[in-house]
Amino acid sequence: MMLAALVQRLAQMLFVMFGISVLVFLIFFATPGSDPAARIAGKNAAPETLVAVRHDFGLDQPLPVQYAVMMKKLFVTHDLVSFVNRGLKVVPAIIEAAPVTLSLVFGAAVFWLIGGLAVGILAAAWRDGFVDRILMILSLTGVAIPVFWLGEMTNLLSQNRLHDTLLFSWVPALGYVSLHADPTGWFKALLLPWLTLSLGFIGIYGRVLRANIVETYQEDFIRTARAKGISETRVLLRHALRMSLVPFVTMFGLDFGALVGGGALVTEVIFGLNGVGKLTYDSLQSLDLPVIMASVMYASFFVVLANAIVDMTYAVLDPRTRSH
Amino acid sequence: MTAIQAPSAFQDTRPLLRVDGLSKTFMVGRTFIPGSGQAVRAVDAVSFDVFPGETLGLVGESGCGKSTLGRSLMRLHDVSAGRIELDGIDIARLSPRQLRPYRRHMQMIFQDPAASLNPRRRVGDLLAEPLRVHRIADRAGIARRLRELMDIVSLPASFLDRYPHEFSGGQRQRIGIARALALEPKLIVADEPVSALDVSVQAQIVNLLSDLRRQLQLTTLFIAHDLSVVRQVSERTAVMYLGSIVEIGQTDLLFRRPAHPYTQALLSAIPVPRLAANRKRERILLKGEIPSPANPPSGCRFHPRCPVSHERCRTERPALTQLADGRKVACHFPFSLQTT
Amino acid sequence: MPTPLLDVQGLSISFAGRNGPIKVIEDLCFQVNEQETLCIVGESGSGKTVALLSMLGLLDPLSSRVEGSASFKGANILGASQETLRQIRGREIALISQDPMTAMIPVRTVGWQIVEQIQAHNGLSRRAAWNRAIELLGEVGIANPRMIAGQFPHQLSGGMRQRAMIAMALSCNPSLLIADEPTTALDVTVQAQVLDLLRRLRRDFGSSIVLITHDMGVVAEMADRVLVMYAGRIVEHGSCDAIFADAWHPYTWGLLDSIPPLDGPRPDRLVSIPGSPPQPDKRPPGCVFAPRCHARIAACAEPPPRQLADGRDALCVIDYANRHAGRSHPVHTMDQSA
Repeated sequence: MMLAALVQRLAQMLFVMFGISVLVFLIFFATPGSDPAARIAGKNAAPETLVAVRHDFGLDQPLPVQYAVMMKKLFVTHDLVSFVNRGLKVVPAIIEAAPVTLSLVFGAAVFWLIGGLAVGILAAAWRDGFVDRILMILSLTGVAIPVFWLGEMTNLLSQNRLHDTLLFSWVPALGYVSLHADPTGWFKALLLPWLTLSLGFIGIYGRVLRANIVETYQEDFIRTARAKGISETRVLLRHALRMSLVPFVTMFGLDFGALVGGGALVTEVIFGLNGVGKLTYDSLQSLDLPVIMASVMYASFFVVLANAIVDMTYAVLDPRTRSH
Repeated sequence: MTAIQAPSAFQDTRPLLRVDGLSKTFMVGRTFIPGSGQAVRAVDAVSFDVFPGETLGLVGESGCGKSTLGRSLMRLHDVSAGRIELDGIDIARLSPRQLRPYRRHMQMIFQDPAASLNPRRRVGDLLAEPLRVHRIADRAGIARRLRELMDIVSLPASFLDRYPHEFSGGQRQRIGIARALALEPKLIVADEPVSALDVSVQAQIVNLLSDLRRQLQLTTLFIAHDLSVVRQVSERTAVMYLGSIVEIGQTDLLFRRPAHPYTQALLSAIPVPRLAANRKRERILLKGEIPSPANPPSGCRFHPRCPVSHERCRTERPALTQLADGRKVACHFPFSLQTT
Repeated sequence: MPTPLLDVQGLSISFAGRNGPIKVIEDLCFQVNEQETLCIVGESGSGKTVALLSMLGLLDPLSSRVEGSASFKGANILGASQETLRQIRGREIALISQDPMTAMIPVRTVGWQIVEQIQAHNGLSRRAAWNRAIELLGEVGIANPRMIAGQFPHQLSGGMRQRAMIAMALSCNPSLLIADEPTTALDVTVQAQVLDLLRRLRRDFGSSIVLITHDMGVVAEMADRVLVMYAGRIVEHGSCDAIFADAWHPYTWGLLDSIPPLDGPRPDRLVSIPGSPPQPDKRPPGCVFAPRCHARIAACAEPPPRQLADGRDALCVIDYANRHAGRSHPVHTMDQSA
């Protein structure tokens, strides 16, 4: 039965991705009153370019064929080319940008998981006390500060004003350093972006976790656990926290998936990291259709994958969801 | 002594409700793979009659299907098989639209008075709604009827302007009863009407229901798990186990001398609030647990737990057969479980 | 007279309310002796569960205030330190909750939960604790204990879940078992099995049981002594035989007389108690039961005295002379008079 459930899940995933691809395709290729060829070719394109584009993408053929051509270029032949960007091969560009985004998001995720757990647990352990209130105020501040402001301020201090002091002299110039080439450099370049990106998430996750734990404390089984004579710490960690993990993990999976798909674009742009987010941002500025198409597919894949993984984690975290 | 009429007075008249082979099956655990999922027969080919003016009690434990049966009769969901004849008309297969005019003839009293009354509506609105929906009367007529209804359940008319949360559990249940009576239905299905109430309040509601029965000649299907309450209000009683009726007959006969071993076990399990010296019955302890309705035992559904089961019980499922005293029992060896 | 196992004197509990503290329990005094079953009967608002939870220090200290004294095996437990309480919970006094589905954590197996309790008080290894858990599950009548230990609470039937809870409660051999409506959520045939089990275990393990219930039938089956609670007070107390033979308080009369009989003649109307139990913040002055009492007199506007006799008492103004007359004239209204 597990296999059947797995197959069902995969089928659902493919179906959703198919749906998204069709929807995006239709938005760009079937909106009345606009010419996809002009869009793909970019502004001020020569007439020969337009003809070439029309032929290449099969734009004089019926819609389903156009869709098939686009999908083939994306997934099979990988020869989707950006006209706006002077022949940039789209798929390789995304493949090259992916590790940057992945490095940024994974690192930030580590910080925000540890931070969120710490804030949530500590605030719940001393709920309604001084520690709790301070942590909640700090969390709210973290949520309220916009990433772009925090990023720019961080840059201002670390790159400019306080760069020569002990605190920030180690900070390299903005931009990504490959992990293979220079691990220490990779770490130094990403540390501040990690902290910036994770601050808001620590705030949200800390608050949500605290609220969940405090709510779980009202449950019957907490009373039973105390009545068994186990320590209060154990009640907090092994009972209340354990039950509160499910919503925590759900949120994490979805946020993580969205970020890997290019949702961290503000951070990437501010810190000069050429990840998928920055790629998407640039393509939206210039309305570079092939790149937009490709990055939407890439992003949707990761969101759908994250969703599926989160669903499967439910079965691990909550045995009631398993079919017996 | 009791004012409940002798059941023999009913048998000659035509039944108000005739249920024939009623089944309700739920599919559980289905995936897109065809043939997956299990069929749970919550109600399994149940047949019985309810005569006008009588109260039929329906008792059983978890998984017996009595609540599902009640909801199926009210057509709160579709029926898998069988007929439900209300005053001669089969309502089992009607579409929701066709069913509309018949809905006023059967009403339900629900278990939880807090949950079954919309907390955002005033009592007056809650009672008037069925009248408006079925276009029973004009404004003045509705106002008159509302006062009548409050009178019937002994609540002051001033309560019409208040909200449900302002009342106690017993008062809320009286409002629920008033609502069920608003349309003067032919049949009332009472689904555990006193179980959610405090013990000291249950007797009030039981008395009220008895009074209303007499005054208004109500026909009721009284679903409950509390046998002492059922004995108080029902002329006839049906006992359900795992989706089917195992015994049905006159309440007095059934309680005094149960024929089916399960009925006996059920009766003997009830703790009696009397001094030890007065408690005559010997307890029959059933072994094992109630099986899952998704996986019922072969033959007689009760045989794995029955203290007096024979080989035949394992292979052959007993049908509901009539005994000399008018009862029907689904057992190959009724009365074989003797206790002092 | 041997010292009682649990001795409660002057217990008063208030909860924080919107308009100030609400007194939920009023001046409770009772004892539990060794090797006996004490049944506490009451309905909603009586405070029966809250009173017993306070023994284990399980009420929220931020929103509740507990006054009075309670001593367990001679030592004071109401003001005891957290560490002392932790050692008593589970090992000396164990709790069985009403609804086994919500009382067990859903994401851990039954065996894990029993092992956790065993290891909290004994230095047993994990393997030894697991075997002990399986042993206990067998002792409470579960047919396949090894398999059941590895299952989750939602996979078991209601009866098995409650048995598992009982096994867990008994795992450290407590002297006192507090069972809070342990059979209310169960079917009647399963209830019979569980009550039978509790009786047997009391014999075999030698613990005392405080059984909280609203069912007078359960009281008759299980109790050695009975406490009847109403609106935060004990209105009657006595041996099981005394209460059933000759109850003193009108509330107890109401509880006993309103039960429809299972055999014999069927009454035309059931005896009922008009009105409903009062909310904790709306209790009347004087006798709390007076608004619903058919035998009330002018003197009931004052707090009633406690009628005492050998081993029993009742909080009522009616004395021996008037008792019989009072009981035989019930009324049949549904709402209490002002």
